[in-house]
Parts: sequence; C-alpha cells; structure tokens
Amino acid sequence: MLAVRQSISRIGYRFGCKILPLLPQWPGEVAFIKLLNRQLSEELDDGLFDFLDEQILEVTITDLGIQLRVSKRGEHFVRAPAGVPADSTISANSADFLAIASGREDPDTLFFQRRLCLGGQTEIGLTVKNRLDALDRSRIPQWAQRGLEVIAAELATVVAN
Amino acid sequence: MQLALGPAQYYWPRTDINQFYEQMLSTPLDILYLGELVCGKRHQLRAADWLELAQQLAEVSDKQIVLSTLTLLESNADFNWVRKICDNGQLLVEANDLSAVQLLAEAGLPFTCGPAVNIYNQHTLAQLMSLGMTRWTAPVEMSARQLEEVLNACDKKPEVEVFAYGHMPLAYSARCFTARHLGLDKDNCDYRCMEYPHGLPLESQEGEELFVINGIQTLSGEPTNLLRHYKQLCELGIDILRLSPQWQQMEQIIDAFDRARRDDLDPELLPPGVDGYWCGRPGLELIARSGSGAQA
Amino acid sequence: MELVCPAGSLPALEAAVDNGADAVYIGFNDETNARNFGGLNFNDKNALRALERIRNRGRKLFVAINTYAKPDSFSRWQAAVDRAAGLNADAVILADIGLMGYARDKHPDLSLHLSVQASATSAPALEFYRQQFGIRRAVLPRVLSLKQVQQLAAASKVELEVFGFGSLCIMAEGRCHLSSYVTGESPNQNGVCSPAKAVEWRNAASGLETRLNGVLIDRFAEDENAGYPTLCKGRFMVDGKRQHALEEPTSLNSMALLPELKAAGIQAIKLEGRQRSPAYVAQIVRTWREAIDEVLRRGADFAVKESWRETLSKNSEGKQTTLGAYDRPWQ
Repeated sequence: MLAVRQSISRIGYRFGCKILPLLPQWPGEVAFIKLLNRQLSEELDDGLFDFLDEQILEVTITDLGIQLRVSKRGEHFVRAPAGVPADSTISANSADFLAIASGREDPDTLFFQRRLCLGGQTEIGLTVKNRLDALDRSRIPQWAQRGLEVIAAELATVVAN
Repeated sequence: MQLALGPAQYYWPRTDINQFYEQMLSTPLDILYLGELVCGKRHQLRAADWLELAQQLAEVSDKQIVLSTLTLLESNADFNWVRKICDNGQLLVEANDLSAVQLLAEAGLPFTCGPAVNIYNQHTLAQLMSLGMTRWTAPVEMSARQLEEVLNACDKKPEVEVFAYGHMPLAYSARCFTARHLGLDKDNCDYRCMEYPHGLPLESQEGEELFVINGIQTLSGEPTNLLRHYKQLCELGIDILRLSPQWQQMEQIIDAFDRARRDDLDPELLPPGVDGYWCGRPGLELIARSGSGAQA
Repeated sequence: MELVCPAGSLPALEAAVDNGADAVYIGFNDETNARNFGGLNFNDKNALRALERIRNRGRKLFVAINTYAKPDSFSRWQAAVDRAAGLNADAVILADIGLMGYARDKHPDLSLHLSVQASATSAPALEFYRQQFGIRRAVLPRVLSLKQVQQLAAASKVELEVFGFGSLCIMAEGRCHLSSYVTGESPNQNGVCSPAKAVEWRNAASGLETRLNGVLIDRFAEDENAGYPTLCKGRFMVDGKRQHALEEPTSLNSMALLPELKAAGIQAIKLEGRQRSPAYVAQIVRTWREAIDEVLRRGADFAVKESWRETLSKNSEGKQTTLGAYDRPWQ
C-alpha cells in the first residue's frame, strides 16, 4: 500500500517537474495572491507587510520551474509587473518550501545547508521569513494544516529519492 | 587640549618597552597610560614590573602616569593581576572592565574608564561618576554627535578623552587568533605574538585591509585619525586626545597633534587613516579627506 | 536547572512552552533588544498574548532589553523597562548600567538579570552589579572555560545562567565592534550584528559570495555549508593564507557538560536563537528538555544520545557544533 502511494506521488511529482516549466506563467499565481490577500488581511491592515510596498519579491520553486512574483500596492498584494527585475529573490525546491510551510524545517537550517537561497536585498527576504514565522497557525483550518504536513513529509522522501 | 599615550596593545620585548617609554619622556605628551591591556599570559612585564616602570617614570617626569588594567579577565591569575594594579597605592588607574571598577570603587579611589567599558549615555556616566570615575574615554564606535549629546545632558562632566589616533581595539575573545593562525594551542602559544610588533594584518580575499589580529584582540585594519577634526574636538570640550602606541613613527604622530594645539595644524603630516565612527558612519570609512576642522 | 528558551514570535513562544521550556525570553520590536531584525519580536499586543500563554502554562517570561541606550533616545529604553514591568514579566535582562539604575529606582520589585552583553567574567564584576542594582542572576559570556565557570560559580552571590546551545559569538559579548566597523551598526547600540540591509548574497563564477556593505566576507564552493554573514565567521587572508582566521561557521553545544554544570550549581541553561523559526525552537527545546530531565535522573551517568546530537547538529550553523570556550583547546 505504502509502495503504491509512493509510486503515485513520484509519478505525479515527475509529471509536474516536466510540465510546469513549459508554461509561460504559473496559472496558480493569481489564485495564490488572492489567497494571500484573504489569509493575511489582518496583517495587511496592521501594516506588517508595508516593507513590500512597491518592492518585488520573486519566489522560485526550482524543481517545478514555478515563479511567483509578488509586490504590494495599497492594502493588497499584487502580481508584480513582468520584465521588471526583482528586488529580492528566494529559491528552493518544492519539498523544502513545503517543509518550511508545514513547520517541519527551520528556514535558517535550510539556508546553512544551501537548500534555500536568498538574493537581492536580504532584508526583504529576512523580513518575509520572520513575518511568516509569526503567523498564527491556528487560523489555518486543521484539515489544511494536516494536509500540508502529509504532503510535506511525502514530498521530502520523493524529492530525496 | 592634553595629549595622552594610550596603553600599549601589542606584545613587545622588555628592553623595547623600557626604551619606548624612555623615548616618550622627551615628547610633549601630557599623560602616559601603562600596563598590559590584552593578555594576562604576556610576561615580559608582569604586574609588578609595570608598577615598577610606572613609578620610575612618575619620579623622573612631570607627565601624569596612569596604570591600565586588563580588558578581558578570565582566570584567577588575570584577576590577581588587576588587583595588584588597583592596589598600587599611588597612581591613578584606568579601569578596563567592571572588576576593576568594583575594586577601585570599594577602595574609595578615583579612577578613569577606558574605551572597553560600555558607557554609551549620560545615565551610565553619572552612575560611574557617583562611584569615583573622574575621566571617561568613550567607546571607539561613538560619534561626535553622540558624545555631544551625552555631554550636553550631563550636570557634572568628567574629563573627556577621545581615541584620536591608532588602530582601534574592536573586539576581545577567549580565543587567541595569533596562536590559531600559527596552529598552536593558546596554552602552548610560545608567546609568538611577540613576533608581530604591529599585529598580524587580516585582509579580505580581495585584498582589503580589514582587521589586525593581536592575540585575543582584534583591531581595526586602518588607524583612526581625528587630526582633521581637531577644531571640532576643541569645540566639543574634549580634554584629552589618546594616541595609541605603535612601534614606528610614534614621535611623528605626537608631533602632528602637538602642532595642532599650537595652531599649526597640518593634516598631511599623517596618513589619512579612517574617521567613519567619529562622523557617525561605518568605522572603516574616511569621510573628511582634506582640509582641517571638517564637520561631521 | 531552569531551561531558558528563545522566542522571536508568538508561534515560537508556543513551540517553546509546548516542548518543555521553563522560561521564555522575548524582546520588543525595536533596537532595545539584541535581535533587532525586521519582522521579528513583540509589539505590545503580542507581548500581552505571550504573557497570557506563559501564565496559562505556569512558565516564566523574561524580557531582554539588552542593548546600550543611546544618549538621544534614552527614554525609549526606559519605556521598554516600563512596558516589561507593566506586563509583570518575571525578569528583565539588562546590560546598560544607566538603565539598570533606572529599573532599580523606578521598579524596585522588578527582578533584574544581567545580560551576557554586559560581559561580566569575574566575581567582583558580578558583585558590582549585585551591590549597585540588586541583580538576581547573571548570564555568563561565552568566553570562559568549564574550569573558569566552576570557579566563578563557587564565588558568585547571584544565580548563574550559561549558554547551552546556539549560534556562537566568539568575541566577548558587548565588547565587539566588528559589525559597526564595517556597517555602522553594532550589537551594542543597534541590537544587530551584520544588519540584513548591509548583507548581499550573490552567485558568482567562483561560488556563492557573501558581502557586508560591499566587503567580501566569504566565497562558498558548491558543496560547502554556509553560516550567518558575520565577520567573525568569514574567510580571510592572513600571511598569504586563506583561512577562517577567527572562527568557522559553527554553533555552540555544551550538552556534554550538563552534569558538570549542574554539579557546579549553575541555575539555568540558555538556548540561543530568537531569530530562528518555531520549527527550530520546537526541535532544540524538546531535545534539551529531554537532556536536562536525563541529567536530573542520572547525574554523572548522563550521556548525550546520538539522536539529540543529530538534531542539534542539523540545526547548527555550518551543520557543526563545538564546545567553544568551555573547552580549553578551542581557545
């Protein structure tokens, strides 16, 4: 049963690695930014992400070839304009991003191990990391948290193999 | 304005030390600080030898002789060294850590505080003055503006001394970096730091002179030089300028500052060095490149 | 032995409490604390929430106000002490003598701990702070050998706290100006070593370069582990040799010394890392909780478990740990 699940995960992962980099833009970008705006509305109201005003943060998921370019205007996160170089970049593979998101791994640890890379203005990347660390996880529904943990654990083994 | 020779940072042979201070007697310096600042293992001159040298100098000269204590105390031997200096019974002591402050305050003696004692504001200054501190050498990273703010906020001012020329002491560690460089244990260091009378330069991989290694101490790669700021130093009411001992060109350095106080300031007499800290900038920057009386 | 744990955010504080912290130390989100990084630390709202969670679980809250107050804004540091007193924090961790005088006069019931930033390394130095300000506890600098810690513990009239684990400062704390020499900002006055705005990471042909205000600190080859971009852990040229002239990227780990530290009468073990994530806090606090419980049970028979060692190494700078100054040969 475990072997079947793992091979399905592996096939899915390889398919993603092949297909996603071929797309001109990750179709999930708009939806993801919408999700950020909804989930982080309190923090946005409190001005906790003002440091991103008119700044471009580029997040690259290296194995899947996905790029997410975010900026902030007014009280909202927005998609950053194409063709403008990013002020700050963060990159890692999908398993490591999920490990951070699910609270399995510490970003500094991954950074020391060269699995998480920062570029451009370090302060933006560092502040984003700290703000995300400070988010109240209890606001994420239990099922979603558990889902994240399961996928993170799964992907950790798949990518490692 | 008085000129002071700070305590020696490097480890020099005994004969050289004696000769160096002999030479200093014939300079226009007003104050000499003597004593081991960096490492309690250095034994060319032990505490008793420094006391003896200091007393000899005090007898033959009308310069003020001040005894400096170790900066970073680790062992009981270090502490006993500091106790001997504090108990000297005659000369003023510069405390370079709170152990010395405690001993001197308990004994009811006046004392001065060196730049490694963290006095960053008027309230700390007042606390220590209430315990007997009469002179303050500001931390090397403080700017002219901050110094002015402290002094403006003081009811009662101590004598104020500024580190005006020389490689600045930036850090102290448990580890001896000279021994590390030579592949030796600190406990078996063979006192090899004596081979580096100017310390051991540390450069970036691109050849930028960053620091100077001196046993457990790390100094700035460039000397600070506040000669160009002489006028501002006077205006701020600074009483004493500290010139840090170096093996070569000490007389020229003293002469350049002495000329400044005789209205004959010539900044070109000395290498430019750095003045970033004084100007509220990173310490390694040089802000006032030419002219005199530059403002921060 | 009290386990004192770091928290730079509420989730980190919860992770510390959930995993067995006896006390958690936090800072306010400004330059009054020595981990003054963007997005980190507690505003008033979160400090209150932190206190509530600490009280619900019967633990202690310490507030670190451990930088040196600037002459033009001393009131900000005073306000931080007032805020900590208003929270009814179990202690404030201070380094500035002027500020300690203020705390003593204004809040006589507030318990004072001497910060590691005050660099008190001898019995008379500790006595100075006890007599003048009534400090209850002092955190010892990471410059003393085990023998020196034992001697100090025997002579001290205040409780002593020592570092157990975390990023290693190799310089005497509060007496290092390397960061301000290159960037203009220092741990003492700005609460930050190598401020992020001065740090640059760049992939170059020769490897990953890290620069601080333009100064090259190191170049890492493909397979090398990295560390924090601090000057003391860079690679430099000395006498024509390229070397980690001061220290390699590494973290302090004194777990193996727990029986000796306990026997010496050390009252608390401090874990470093307010800048790290809740994931780090959870892992290292759980590990140290188990180790301290084991030392209480087994005394001198205590041995460091392999799994503990792995967890701590994994979370270390450069993926390696050292006994640091506790171990004389390191010095």
